[in-house]
Amino acid sequence: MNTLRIMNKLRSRGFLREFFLLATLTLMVIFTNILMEPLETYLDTKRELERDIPVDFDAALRFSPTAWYLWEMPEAEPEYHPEIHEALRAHPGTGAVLESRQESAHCALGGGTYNFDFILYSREYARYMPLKLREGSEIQGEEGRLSVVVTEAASRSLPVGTRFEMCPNGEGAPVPCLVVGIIGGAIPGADTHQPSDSAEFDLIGLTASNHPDFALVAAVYDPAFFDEVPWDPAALVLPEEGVDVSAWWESLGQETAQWGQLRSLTEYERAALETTLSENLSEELNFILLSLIAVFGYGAYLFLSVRVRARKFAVLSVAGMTRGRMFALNMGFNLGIYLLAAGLGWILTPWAAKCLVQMDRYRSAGVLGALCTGGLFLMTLLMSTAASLVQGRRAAAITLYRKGD
Amino acid sequence: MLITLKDVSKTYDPGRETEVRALRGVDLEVKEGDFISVTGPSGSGKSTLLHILAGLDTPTSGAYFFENTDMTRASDRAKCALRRRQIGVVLQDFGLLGDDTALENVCLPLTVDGVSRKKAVARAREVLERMGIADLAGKKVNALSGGQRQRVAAARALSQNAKLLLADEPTGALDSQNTEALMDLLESLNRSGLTIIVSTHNPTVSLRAPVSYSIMDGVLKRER
Repeated sequence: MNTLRIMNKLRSRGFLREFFLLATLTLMVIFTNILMEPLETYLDTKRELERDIPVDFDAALRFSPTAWYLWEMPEAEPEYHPEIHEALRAHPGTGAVLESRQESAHCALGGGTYNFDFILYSREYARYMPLKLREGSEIQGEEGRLSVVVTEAASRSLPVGTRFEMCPNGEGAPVPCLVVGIIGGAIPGADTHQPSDSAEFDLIGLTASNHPDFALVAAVYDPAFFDEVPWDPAALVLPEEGVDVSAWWESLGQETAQWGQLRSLTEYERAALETTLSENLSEELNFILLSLIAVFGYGAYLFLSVRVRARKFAVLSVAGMTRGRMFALNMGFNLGIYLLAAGLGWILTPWAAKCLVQMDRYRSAGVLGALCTGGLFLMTLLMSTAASLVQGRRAAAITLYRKGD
Repeated sequence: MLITLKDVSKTYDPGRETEVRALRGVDLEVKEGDFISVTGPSGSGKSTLLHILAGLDTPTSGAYFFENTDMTRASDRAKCALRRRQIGVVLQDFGLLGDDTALENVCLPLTVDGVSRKKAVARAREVLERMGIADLAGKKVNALSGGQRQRVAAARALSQNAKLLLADEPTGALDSQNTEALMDLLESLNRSGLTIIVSTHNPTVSLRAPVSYSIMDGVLKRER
């Protein structure tokens, strides 16, 4: 209780000063959370995929006829060439070529139409990376209908058992479909990886799973459904066990250079992050600038707040308070304000991300955001408190102790 | 002996252009119950001497013992403990927290020392009573006159039954009437056994102390 009483004496009497400190800190937390979000999402997705997909990330390669990331579009329209996959598969050292494709589709359902993205997997893909379905969600497929599994989010519009028709890319004849399950894990893809429970990203997985209920196990190749739709022959290529990965990668790259590029999956994921970062560069620079302003503003405020209280520290020193306790008290006081600001910041971040910076897909900044804001705070707090107490001690000595002579 | 200073010197910014030799070879012995004044012009080293005695500053060389404690080697914690319990300090500008009441200010060393709120308040009221300012207990320090503030500062310095009271220019901000009243108070405290060292450049104040020293350019000399 005595410590709280002394802490109360250190508090500035002006409400505005305390409010300013709280607002500065809250902004710092918000900006740092927003800044950390893309990195956090990348790490989360990678973690999720590594947990759900039994593929050696460091050895797997991604083949693409486009430049090595989607935003660098190919000069020609993507078109499926079976010989590309044959060449990849026939190369010595290749264990498997996992094909998949991602498209969008118009779905006629009830009285209305919906736009969805969907992924098709080859039989081989599904054998290596089986989709995990939510337990108890599966039903039997029907002949003449494409069995589809949907994400948690998509299941709100398309619950299990729903029959509907889908037009891939809005072209060709409508494909009759039946929802037979809900995806419970991550959704693997050669072009992209999406967490299955994303609320904003409705996704239909057309699976070629080895699950016996899924009738269309070879959906990718079935001309009855998708013959007319052109597609990008992106694929994941896995090495055979025991193969020298770098040598295999190099020779495979040379052989398939005429068709496209090979990159490691890890590198590809990193590139995805870099693309996200570069697409939002101006916003990020603004965030960094604002974060720096918040950090330095907070640091300067702390520094000045101790300088302003130099006389109080001198009085406490005369009353017998040690320097260590003064430092601890000052830290404790500011830590209390920070915890309040951190709470406010974490509550306000989703709102700020959506309304202030138009970030559509903000996911909660997790441990990384907390570590980053906490680290920034502690660094600023320690540096400015130590500096200000040293300065404050000098100022106190001049203004109070040495006034006599 | 309560205080023993042997060949104490204090130099600020040694080796720089701004070097100031505030104390030079000071020897001083103070017994319990002494009432000593230290006089000298501004910049002569009075305050430096008192700050060293209070443990707020450290000598550059020489030895300083407070009873058996070697103050030149004592930790900040030990010196602070002495200031809380045995050495009371009164400063020229009072050194009070203006937004707090007189009672709160007198409670401060007790609060810092971890004394319970109830005991601290009781003790503070007792000291204010002894100083004749019990009626000021609930008043904010900013609303008090200079003389009243200095009495509150003295009350705070003595809130823990200090053995030694160090008063650095305690009358510097007071008129003659308040100066007299404060010196009366200090004399009465000294009669009750408190050791007092007062720094001043006011000859009237100096004459009230039985033992007087002068200080000039950091050199301390006994006058009577």
